Amino acid sequence: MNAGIQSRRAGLAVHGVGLIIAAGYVAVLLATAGDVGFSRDEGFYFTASEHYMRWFDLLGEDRQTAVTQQVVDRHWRMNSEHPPLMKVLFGLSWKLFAQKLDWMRESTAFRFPGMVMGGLLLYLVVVFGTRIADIRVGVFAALALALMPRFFYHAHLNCFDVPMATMWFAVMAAFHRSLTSWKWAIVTGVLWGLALATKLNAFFIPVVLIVYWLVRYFSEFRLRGGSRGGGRLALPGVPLALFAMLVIGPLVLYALWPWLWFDTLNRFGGYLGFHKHHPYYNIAYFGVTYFEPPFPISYPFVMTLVTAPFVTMVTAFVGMGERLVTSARRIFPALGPLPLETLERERARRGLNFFLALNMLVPILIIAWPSTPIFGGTKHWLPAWPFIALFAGFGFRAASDGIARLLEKAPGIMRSVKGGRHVAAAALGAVLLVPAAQQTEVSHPFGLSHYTMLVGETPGSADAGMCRQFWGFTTGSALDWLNENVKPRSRVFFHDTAWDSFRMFQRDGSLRGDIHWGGQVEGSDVAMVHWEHHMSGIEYSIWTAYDTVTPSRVVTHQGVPILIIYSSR
Amino acid sequence: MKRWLPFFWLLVPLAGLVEMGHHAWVEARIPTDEDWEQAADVIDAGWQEGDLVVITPWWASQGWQELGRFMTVEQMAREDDTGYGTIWEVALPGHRHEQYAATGTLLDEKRAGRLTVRRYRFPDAPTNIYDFVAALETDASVTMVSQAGGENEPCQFRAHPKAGLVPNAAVQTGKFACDPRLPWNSVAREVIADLTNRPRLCIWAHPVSQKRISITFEGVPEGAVIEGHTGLEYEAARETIDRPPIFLEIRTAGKVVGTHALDRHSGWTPYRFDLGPAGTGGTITFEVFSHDVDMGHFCFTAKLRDR
Repeated sequence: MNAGIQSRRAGLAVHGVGLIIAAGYVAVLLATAGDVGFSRDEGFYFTASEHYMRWFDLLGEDRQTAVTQQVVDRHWRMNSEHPPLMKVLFGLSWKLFAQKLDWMRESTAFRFPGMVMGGLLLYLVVVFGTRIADIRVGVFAALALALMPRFFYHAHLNCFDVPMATMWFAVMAAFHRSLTSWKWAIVTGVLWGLALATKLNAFFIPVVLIVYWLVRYFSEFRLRGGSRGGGRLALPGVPLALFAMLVIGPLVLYALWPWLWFDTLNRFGGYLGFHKHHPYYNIAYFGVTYFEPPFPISYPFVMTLVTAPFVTMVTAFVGMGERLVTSARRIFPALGPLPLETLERERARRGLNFFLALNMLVPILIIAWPSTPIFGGTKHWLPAWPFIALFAGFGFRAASDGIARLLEKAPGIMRSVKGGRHVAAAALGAVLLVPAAQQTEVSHPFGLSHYTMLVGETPGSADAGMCRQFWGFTTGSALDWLNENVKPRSRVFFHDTAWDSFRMFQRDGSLRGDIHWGGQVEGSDVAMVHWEHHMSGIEYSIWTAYDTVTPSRVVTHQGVPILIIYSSR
Repeated sequence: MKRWLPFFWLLVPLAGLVEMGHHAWVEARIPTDEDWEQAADVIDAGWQEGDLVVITPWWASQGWQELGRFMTVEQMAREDDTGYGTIWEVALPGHRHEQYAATGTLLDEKRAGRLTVRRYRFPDAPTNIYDFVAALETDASVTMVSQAGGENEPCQFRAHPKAGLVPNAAVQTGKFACDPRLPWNSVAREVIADLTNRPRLCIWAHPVSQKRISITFEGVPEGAVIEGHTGLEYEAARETIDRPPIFLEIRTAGKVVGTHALDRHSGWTPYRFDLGPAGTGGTITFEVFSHDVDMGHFCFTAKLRDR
């Protein structure tokens, strides 16, 4: 299994590379966080985190009172539809980096743990990719993931989606190691508990693992004849990690979530019930705004294709193809026998390709199910993306080997450049990653609005009638204009931006403190529209109220209007 | 075939080059603020009162920062483009309004940076003789007519106060309140979003159970046809598509000119009635009714035209 790490020193180097990439990514996220406005959900989590921190304060002062049901309920009822781990980390970071050390703005301090989780995921991808293949796969996969525009956007936020992807990946990587080490089985159990405490998606992790176990070890299921003519089903060994998850996971969730300490079953049921009966919000997809099932099965597949860089998806498909052909050649030598070394390596990795494919497909298939709400766009299948990136890593390795073989046929070129094979690989990496970096750079800070080549980038997506944004986060791109142009003590209608997010803009000092919140268009002095097709009526009500169709300011992304601001006369 | 197979790997970096090239192509087609200013200058030079400006594609509404001064709320929320003799189209690269190109006469076409300004003439456009939506507040009276033998109830026009949380006078100065306790039970000029989310300035006339909403215009000039559109406000339109239709009946001099049934799933729907030689001018009444009035966020337009 330890395919790509040949020695302890090499192993340390891999960890070092992973950490450098992770730290660099977090640094970029920190440097660019101020550009990304606060989404609706972030506003709610800011507030929830502060609630929870007040409980921790009380816990430090008066532990006996803090653990009473009345006090726990008062502090932990807020946002109890989501588990607490990330909100607690957001709050702790806020207390440390904003309140105590004053190193960061309040919002950045809240967001910092989410960024760290984004960096951590890249680190894990480097290490896991190197472990199952080689460092080229690990590093390319991590960079391909980092340079997916929507991953870059979500990695800025104090939300749960990137942390959930990190936890999912961590559990899977630990599980994979647990197949040969009981210690990793324990780690898997703990990690799953942390995943449960991160977001609801964690409940699907055992499903993936059980399907993997059933398929991977299918040939080891046996029907054995009994001494009295009956039969017994002999099972292959059940991975220890599954037992560890069953025992440790719920305990970790319970320990980390004070809300569950009282009336546990009812509250746990309420948590699941909230998501089971979650209202269907809308999503625009190829000119149709969907409000209720059945939702299009194609949605997560197509959205992945049109929001990830084209070159990343091409490389990932090449990787999938290479894995498929290699597996087929291993199983059916008649297709063309593999070289002995490759054959042994592939035998040692038996089941790995299926494991990766399962992890890539299950989060997408859950959303493809016609009755699953799709309002969250791509973020709901974010756990699949590191595995797409890993396939891209395999694709990169295959292409770089293929091109090197071609160049070997032109020995003049290879000889003229020192380390020609490595230079060729580096050049290929650059040609594949620069377009992705360019897409990510262009997408910032409009990550949710950005589309890539297959739909004609953002203008093409507007022609096609795709969702232009949600969450009201693009207010962040209008703050400079508001600060410069809104008259003192004016009332601004902020449309889809949540009150808590508006307050955070003012707490951060990025929005003038004398600007008042306007709850409706009527009576406001300035009104904005976060353009979404189903909410265009808001813009018409502004025309009517202000008697003008001329915006004062239009914030665009690639020429597509995102935020339209009107001023009353 | 096998000979060329090794070269397959060169397609992978080619994908990167294609993506970068495509991105450069996309960026080169995005109009700048200066382009929109240039387009406004082009229109300014030939603009005449009553002309219409459209942006193609519709979503490029950034352009209204410069072009909005040529347009009113009434024009932006028009029922359709019929009746406009001259239409200016400001188009992004690669875009063209197919209907204008097919039915209009292209007078001129000018470049404004990355934008193209086209001026179309529609010589066959009918003349709008009378706009019932525009005349609602000045020329109309509204009554709830009982269908069960009860008394008719007049709906009094209530002007909005001069200050407060009310729409701007350009669209609506007040409402014919049929039941002041129920804001929906009124008749007024409104801008709604239709089923496709397009803005429509129209006469709001929510049907009432067992009654007809009757809107009567006095002193209407002579014309040949009445045509217009009916539709439901967006939310009602998408949530009540299986309910029975809503009817708009038009009478002149007491005679029914025609009855239009709005199927709720059909969105913004045109209708047209020929007034005939004898039935023009004078008093024209529009009556709105339905067997199922729930979510009947009904709105209609009507124009008297010469053909």
